[in-house]
Amino acid sequence: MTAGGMERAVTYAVLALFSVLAVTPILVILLAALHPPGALLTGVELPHTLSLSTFRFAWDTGGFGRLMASSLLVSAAVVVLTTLLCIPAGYAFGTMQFPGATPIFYVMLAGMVVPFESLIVPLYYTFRDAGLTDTYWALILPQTGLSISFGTFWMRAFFRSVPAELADAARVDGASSWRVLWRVLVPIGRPAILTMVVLVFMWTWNEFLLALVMISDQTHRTAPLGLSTFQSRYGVDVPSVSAAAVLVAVPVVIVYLLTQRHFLRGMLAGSIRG
Amino acid sequence: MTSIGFERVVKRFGHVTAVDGLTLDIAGGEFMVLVGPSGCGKTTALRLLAGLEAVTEGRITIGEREVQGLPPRRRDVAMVFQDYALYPQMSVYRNLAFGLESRKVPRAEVRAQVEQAAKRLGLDELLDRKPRELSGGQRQRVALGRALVRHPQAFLMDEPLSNLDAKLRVDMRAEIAALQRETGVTTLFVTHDQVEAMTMGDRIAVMRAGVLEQVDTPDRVYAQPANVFVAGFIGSPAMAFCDFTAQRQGDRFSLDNGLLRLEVAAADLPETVTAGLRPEHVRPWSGDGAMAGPFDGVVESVEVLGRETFLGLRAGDGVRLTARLEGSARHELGERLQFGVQRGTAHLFDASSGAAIAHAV
Repeated sequence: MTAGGMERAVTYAVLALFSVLAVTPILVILLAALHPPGALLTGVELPHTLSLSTFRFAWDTGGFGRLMASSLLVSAAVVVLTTLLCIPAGYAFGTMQFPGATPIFYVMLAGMVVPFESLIVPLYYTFRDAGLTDTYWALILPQTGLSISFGTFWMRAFFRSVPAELADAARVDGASSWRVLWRVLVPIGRPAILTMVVLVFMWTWNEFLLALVMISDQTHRTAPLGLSTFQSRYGVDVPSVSAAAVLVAVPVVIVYLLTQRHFLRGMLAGSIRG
Repeated sequence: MTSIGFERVVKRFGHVTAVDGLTLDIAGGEFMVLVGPSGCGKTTALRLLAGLEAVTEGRITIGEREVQGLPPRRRDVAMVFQDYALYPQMSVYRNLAFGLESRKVPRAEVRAQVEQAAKRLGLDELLDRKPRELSGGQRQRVALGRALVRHPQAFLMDEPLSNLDAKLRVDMRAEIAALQRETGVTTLFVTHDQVEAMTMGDRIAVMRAGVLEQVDTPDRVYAQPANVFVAGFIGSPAMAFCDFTAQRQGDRFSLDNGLLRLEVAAADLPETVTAGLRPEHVRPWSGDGAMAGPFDGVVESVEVLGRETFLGLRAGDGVRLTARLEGSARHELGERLQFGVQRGTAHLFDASSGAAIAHAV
């Protein structure tokens, strides 16, 4: 085998190994979800009959219609707020020189560095005192705050990667900073922006701990909280919780598939230039 | 027509001084070329004028207005960038219209202006295309069109031809010069290419290390360079320099360095001078009385260009000259060759400061 062939074989072997590691848990959950509700599973087992009834059971029992609507509302609000705030913030940090830019940027980065779990208790008391627990704001505001750290960091990297001549040309052409941003740079940045949207949507959609702490009434619960429906003090209904997990994951998968092309381009741009 | 003035302009980036006390007046309608090697501060000077960099010290005026405090959009200048800087997501039409739309020009007028500029530059068939669907030359035209369409007070051009192939560059050189004559818009053109500088500018300003070395018409800069740097930078192949000891002989001076011996007419000379010799004044020895020589040399390089040939000659240690011959001359590397220097063509510079002392002597 030539050196090139050997290298290729090793590359494929490593990729195959990681693919197996990534796909196996998903397959195990899918297999479990194909068993009837309440079935006792002791390991990875193939179902005797192929049935999708557990999905319907999980959807009805968990009340996922309402949960999904809540999650969608929270995720959409967080994504919109994050996008609207992070694009101008990233633009300012990436292209402008102003006093205190570096320290302010590091303060923003702290949101990515400090573990969220350490903030959740003070955050709960703050929101409770403000009368915001058991409202969507208790989910939207903290998650927007958290996403802004990443979003600003991400958009700053994008704006720094754009050739400065483009913005210079627009400024000489008579455009204000605002017009340079929205007419020249944002259209070019669609892959980076869509990537940020997908990541923030995914993180917000999957957020469990914040919703568990902030929300106690049924009307504001989000989809990941619905998974706890199938846990009783006597055990877990594995097929139902698996089916529910698949249902909860479906919107994220759909969003990813819809934006896949841009997402990959954005990730690549970030990895090369960021 | 709008004049432009730099008055003792300084630009520092941290501890680095990119432009050091630049004073330059560009007359209304003039085509001024700012030329110099990479890193000499010429692009920084242009960006200071455009408002893309803030002036550290000094004044810049466009017409009667002092502009150093104004943002780029209030300076009413148009700039053509080295890499074109076309907006990739916009069609050619939108690229051309962007500047007018930014200035809230009525839509009908925008269309009329864009179509007029597109027609002038032969872009009318390409208005719906995106920049990525254009060749390098077409992109260059769009970049020019974007400047032209706005009827600005000044065109600023930052090495706009450097990404074009040699033939296209020659064509665009003529086109830009013609466009400037036609519109009469004051132009500051930055280049490191001295051929562009010589062929395009009404005047050329030569910069080195942030300092303006000389401003004059191309022929005067060529014939009467202010110092050794300008003399060596302007002209291709470059002027050759040799140090000589000067000795007065009546009303003339004899210059001798052990290898070459020249006689020059000068009122006064320091003991040591640097003489500059252009290739067109160095030729193989023909016994012609108008030549000083013969001197012995060895051929170190041969560049046959068809219409002319340049020979690199070495006359002893450290003395290297270039000779220009008509047509395609056949010479071998390492060949011994006697050559002469045309009398009355030497440029003399102070050996320590490099400042010019006399020309064509």
